[in-house]
Amino acid sequence: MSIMSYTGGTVVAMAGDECVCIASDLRIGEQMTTIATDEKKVHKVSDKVYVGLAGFQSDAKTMLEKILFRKNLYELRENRKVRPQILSEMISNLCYQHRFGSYFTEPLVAGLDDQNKPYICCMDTIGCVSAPRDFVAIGTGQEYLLGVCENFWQENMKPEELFEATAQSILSCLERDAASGWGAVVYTITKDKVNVSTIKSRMD
Amino acid sequence: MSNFTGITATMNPLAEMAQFKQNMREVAASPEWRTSKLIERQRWNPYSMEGGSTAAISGDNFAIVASDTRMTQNDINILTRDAEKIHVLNDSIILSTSGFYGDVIQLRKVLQSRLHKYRFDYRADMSADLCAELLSRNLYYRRFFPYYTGAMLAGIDENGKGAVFSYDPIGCIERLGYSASGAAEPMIIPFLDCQIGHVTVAEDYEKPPLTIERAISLMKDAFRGAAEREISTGDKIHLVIAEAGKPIVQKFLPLRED
Amino acid sequence: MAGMHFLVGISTDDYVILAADKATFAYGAILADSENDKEYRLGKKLTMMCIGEEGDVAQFGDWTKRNLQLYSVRNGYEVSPASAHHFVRRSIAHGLRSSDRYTVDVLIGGYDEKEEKAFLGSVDYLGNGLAKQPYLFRGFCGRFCYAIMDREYKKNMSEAEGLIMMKKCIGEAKRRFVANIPGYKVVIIDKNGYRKLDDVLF
Repeated sequence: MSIMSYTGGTVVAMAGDECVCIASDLRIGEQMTTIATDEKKVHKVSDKVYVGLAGFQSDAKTMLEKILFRKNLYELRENRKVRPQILSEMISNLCYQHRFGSYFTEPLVAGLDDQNKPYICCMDTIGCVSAPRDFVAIGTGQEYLLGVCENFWQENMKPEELFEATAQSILSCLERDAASGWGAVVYTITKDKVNVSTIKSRMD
Repeated sequence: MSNFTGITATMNPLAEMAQFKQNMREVAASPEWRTSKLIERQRWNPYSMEGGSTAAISGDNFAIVASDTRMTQNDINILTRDAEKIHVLNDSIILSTSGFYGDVIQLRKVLQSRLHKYRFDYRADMSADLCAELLSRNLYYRRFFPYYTGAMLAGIDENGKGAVFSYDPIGCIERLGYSASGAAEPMIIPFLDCQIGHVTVAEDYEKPPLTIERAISLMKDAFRGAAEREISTGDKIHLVIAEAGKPIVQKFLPLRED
Repeated sequence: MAGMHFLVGISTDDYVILAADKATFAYGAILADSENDKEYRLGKKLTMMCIGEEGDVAQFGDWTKRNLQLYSVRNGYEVSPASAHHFVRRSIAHGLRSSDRYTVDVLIGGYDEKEEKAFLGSVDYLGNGLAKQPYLFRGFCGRFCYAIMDREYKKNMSEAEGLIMMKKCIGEAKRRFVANIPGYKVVIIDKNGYRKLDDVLF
């Protein structure tokens, strides 16, 4: 078993019309044993910027600390809020600094920029960014998600549709991915507010 | 005995420790994984994978099977754009396969000859249920040098109902409502779970009935989604429709060709 | 899930119970000591149970204890359980990527004076940290016990019920696990402070 699937976990993000959705499962395990069922892999970085960290939980936590540290320094130095584009560049740099001993976590950034344009991106463990306009998925359920998202995603979805598409995608993924599960948490980020909903899935 | 380097009382422990530390520093400075030392010569492998995917859906009085028609080598080279992965064995049995194409051809041949013999012995075509068991046994017969195929058998069973049987390479058989196999299996299956299995919606949610039209359009969607992301799936959809009391219909639909 | 040792942690909002086996094994086959203390007191209402590579346990346990002691001397107050957990996880994760790492699994239990809530967390030797959990186990026997606790745990169970549950887990470990574990040290932390309870002996 690879270290990337030691603790398990999946994160997905979808972009819509002036809104983005980011969702993760809640399971943490040690290989086949589930030891916690309330670990979100999505973290708030700024008002409308969220980061998802799938992969090895230990490295994800360390990475999150480093991301928040750099983001705080940025905001203090520049005296403005971080944009998702900037954050992803920052995380990419951070990842590549550990090129020859990388953190076993794949970061994902989702948020709205200052014009409320949606931005989503994911990267590999050494910070190669891909920022498509539709959706991104990382973690043990990546393949499952890409298949369903491909069918559920549409151009210019409104927040309600986007939530439904994201929720259905991650629920379908959790149905088949043994290393993720125990419910999902979905953040719908719009220009006025962020809606958080916890949904039940297969609880195993 | 002159080059004996075992435990000696004369060895200086401090020098030994220094040497150890030196070795540690060296290995830390250039760990083995940074060199090409680990690349081994590849051994000959009796199997290869030609990519592609297939899926099957069964309904009340029908079963549909679909596959792409691309055949690839090493997931990159396209060997042909119109490979045949669905094999119509008789008027009610459809075999669809993925995996190693050499084994696919052999397996088809074995089944065809068994079906032929059955016709000779009993003056009737074999039913899908029987053939499903037969396939399972044929796969298990090669338990220790398996046919490397993800086979599925679909058709109309003895009661006129649609049937899909799914297998692993060594003959584990399961009758399912829908199934997929091959390179894009992880992409197709959750979509079918959602749309046909309705596993992600609440109990009281009104579920649309699975008609043959709906099944066909879901199948198209599934393959278009898979072809978008999975490089060894593409070119054409080969769709085979078996409806109770009707002859089997075969269709080819366009799919991404890049 | 390292080795033959076993740590149990059960908590509600009001208290946290920690139990650790008292064995030392040698060569994976011999019971070398039946009075081994695996506990490291990190504060007045904060403690850590530690298993793993024997030398690392002693070294890491002591190092953590002294560092947190130093913190409280310097600042005049003790760290909160969540902060202590964060510190321990960071230390192990940092060590993992350097040439000297600690192969230790720990449970941390304490009572947070500010939040007025008991705290239970774990860190494994890879730096995977879990905080604010209702029940956690380290060691192979945890595999039986997660199942027990999933079924039996109640959010607002009394201290007595919690202790019964802890004994149930230890009993299951006794029944199912091959190694002879001589006994367990049990401690409890609540808003009134730290108490050592009677050992569970067999």
